[in-house]
Amino acid sequence: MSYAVLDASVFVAAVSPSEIHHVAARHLYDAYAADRAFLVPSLFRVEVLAALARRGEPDEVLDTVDLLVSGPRFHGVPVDSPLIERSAQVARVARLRAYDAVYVALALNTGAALLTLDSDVRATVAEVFPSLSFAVPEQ
Amino acid sequence: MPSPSRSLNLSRAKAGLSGVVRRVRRTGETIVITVDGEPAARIVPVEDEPRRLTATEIATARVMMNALVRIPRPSEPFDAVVAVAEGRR
Repeated sequence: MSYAVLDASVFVAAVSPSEIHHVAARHLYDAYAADRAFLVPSLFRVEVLAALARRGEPDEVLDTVDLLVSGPRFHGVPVDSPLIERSAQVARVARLRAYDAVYVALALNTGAALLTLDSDVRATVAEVFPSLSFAVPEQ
Repeated sequence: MPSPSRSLNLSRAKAGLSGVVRRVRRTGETIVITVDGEPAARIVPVEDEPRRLTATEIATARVMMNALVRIPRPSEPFDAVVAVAEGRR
């Protein structure tokens, strides 16, 4: 069974109709098999809620999102020693921000595809880690 | 809640490695290997892969996703990449 690592930006866009990539992000989210869990680092929940709360989203949205991302559709992977070790290597070699490096390291460690809207991360990682596969939104 | 750890000195672990690995796999417990009475290493189970969602779980996740786009929300356009990146600075 193949998995995908879901970047927080894709999920935030997929649940936000006014986000500029909403339609593409929702398509990307829905294209993933409905009976599979997305792989996410354990910090995913915090990142998603922080991004939405900072926009002033109502409690009803935050509560629903929290319930959804805490459920079985999302498989939280602890940011533990092996993942931190790989993330440190990724951050050094690809010169990424810390949390971008964690998502990339998780995809590399699990052989999963990375779903991200961040074209800068995709371009950098494709050059440094050509074995990593991406699922990208249709433009 | 993590399983409690039990200890084994290096000589006994070496002599019974197959049994130690089978035990960790079966019970999910962590075994600490000691050298000269001091903890030196751990044998831990590989984490389970995520399981397949049931039909009810799939339906529940779908209902929540669809509900989110119907709740009245701030309407000004924004870029999620930027919004998430702000939290990563």
